[in-house]
Amino acid sequence: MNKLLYLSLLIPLIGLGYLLGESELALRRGASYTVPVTGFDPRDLLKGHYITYRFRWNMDPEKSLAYFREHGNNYSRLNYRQDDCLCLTDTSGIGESYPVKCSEKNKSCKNIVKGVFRFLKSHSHTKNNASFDDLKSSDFEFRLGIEKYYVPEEHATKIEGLLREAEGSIKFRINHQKRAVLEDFFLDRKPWRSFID
Amino acid sequence: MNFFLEKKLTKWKDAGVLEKETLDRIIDYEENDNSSYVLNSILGLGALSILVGVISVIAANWFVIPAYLKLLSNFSWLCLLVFGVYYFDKNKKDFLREAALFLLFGSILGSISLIGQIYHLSSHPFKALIFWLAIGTPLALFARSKYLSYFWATSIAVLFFQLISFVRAEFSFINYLQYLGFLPLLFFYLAELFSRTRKIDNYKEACLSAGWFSFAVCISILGSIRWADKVNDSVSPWVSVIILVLTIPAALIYAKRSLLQIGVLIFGGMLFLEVPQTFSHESLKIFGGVLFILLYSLVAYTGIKIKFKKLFDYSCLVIAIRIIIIYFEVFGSLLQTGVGLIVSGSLILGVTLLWIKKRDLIWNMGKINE
Repeated sequence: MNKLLYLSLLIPLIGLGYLLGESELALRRGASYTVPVTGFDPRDLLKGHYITYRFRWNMDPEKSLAYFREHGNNYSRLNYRQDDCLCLTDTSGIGESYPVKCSEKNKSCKNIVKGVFRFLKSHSHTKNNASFDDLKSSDFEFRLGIEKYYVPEEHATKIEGLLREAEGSIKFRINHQKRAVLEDFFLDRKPWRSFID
Repeated sequence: MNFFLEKKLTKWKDAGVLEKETLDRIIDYEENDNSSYVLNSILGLGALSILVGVISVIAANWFVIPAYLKLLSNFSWLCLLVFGVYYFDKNKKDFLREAALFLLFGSILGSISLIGQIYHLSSHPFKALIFWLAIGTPLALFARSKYLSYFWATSIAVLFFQLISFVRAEFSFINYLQYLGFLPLLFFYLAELFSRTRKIDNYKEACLSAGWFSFAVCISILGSIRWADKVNDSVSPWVSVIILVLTIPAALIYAKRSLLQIGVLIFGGMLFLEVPQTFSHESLKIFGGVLFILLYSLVAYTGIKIKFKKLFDYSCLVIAIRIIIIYFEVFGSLLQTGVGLIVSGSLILGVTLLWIKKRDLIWNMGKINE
């Protein structure tokens, strides 16, 4: 019986060690991108001890709308699909991008990253009457799931103010599962820590 | 020695029910009993304070300390707790072992939060919780005190709600409630699983308590709301059908092992909860109210059968309250409601007085029919 107890004591250490190792490896592998960000809600950038933002992708509007018309069933379901990716045509993060299916192989994509489309304003369309005809590129965004950055409690307000004045950007890596792993947060292309005394 | 117990024992001795020798042996045993819930509670409070403090410090995001040092400190703390459990277990120091186990179990969640904060891992809380419970449950099951077992059962309930949120993110709160019937069933089956070995009786008890509590809340509140609400075609009936199908084995187990009435109560309660979701209907609050009273009459009868007087009393109280609520539902104007309440209040007082006088007779009548 005691042997079982001692064995079960090791399980959390092994499990946490694995989580730590995987997180650390994700930061060292995969292509790195730095993409400009803007406040998601100018009145409420700060949520608790992290700042929130949205990425300013250079999305091709025609290709985006064509993708939604072809693959989108209706507005209400678009938010929760699991197979949407963003094609990145260059390695900088500010080049042109457009939506693609994650399973598609597209030669013009330098890399693809998994995420979810979200609509930025509500629409009056019902389930049976959905249409993308009036959709504009400013009506939606592509979220990677890394739209939160933890900041120290005592500096949170200052960083929030800086993000409104300076140009913010997020550096991330794409792991082997095509998911974004957040690396760092920049203000005017400098690490945010340099703005803190 | 417990003041109330001593008073009770003296009363029994004076009534000639208990002999003096037996009384003296009981008093002697109680006074020499080493288990102290005061000490347990203080230890538990101390351990919980440390745990909350550790998590708060992590949440404050120590900017000054480098990430690697935070992780190193955290793992050192975990290793210290692991060693503590090992050492106290080897030296048979049960209180300290329990405290260390409790701290370790909670610290695992703190560690997951710390790693998430350092590496900015954004994911649904469900994933963090399930990971915590997956790696922490094996060691938590070695706890013998009820504190960790009840804490674990609470964590399972939280995980359940997060699972619904994770799987059906687009659901409104009302639809979210449709899945609530799974919760008591989850605890009943977990209790059944834990009953296979005596060494984790505390977990069986914790799950049974959580199961009956969630069952009572679901039936009493949610069930009544469902009968009172209008149900339209947009609600999927299949969830309710699945819940009812899963209820059958649980009801049969309790019917065979404990008492037929308990099995009937479980199945009847779930029928009361889920049937209104299986078909479209207008508000059926009166019908629902009558069914509620019948169900709690069954609870009262079950209380008699298992000789649990408090359950019998509780059921009678709930029935009385439900009757008053029916009056509010039925009568439109304040005047009518007021008159109705005066009449029913007088009736309840009269019945209560009669019941107080004849309660033992009713109780014994139920026992005679065994």
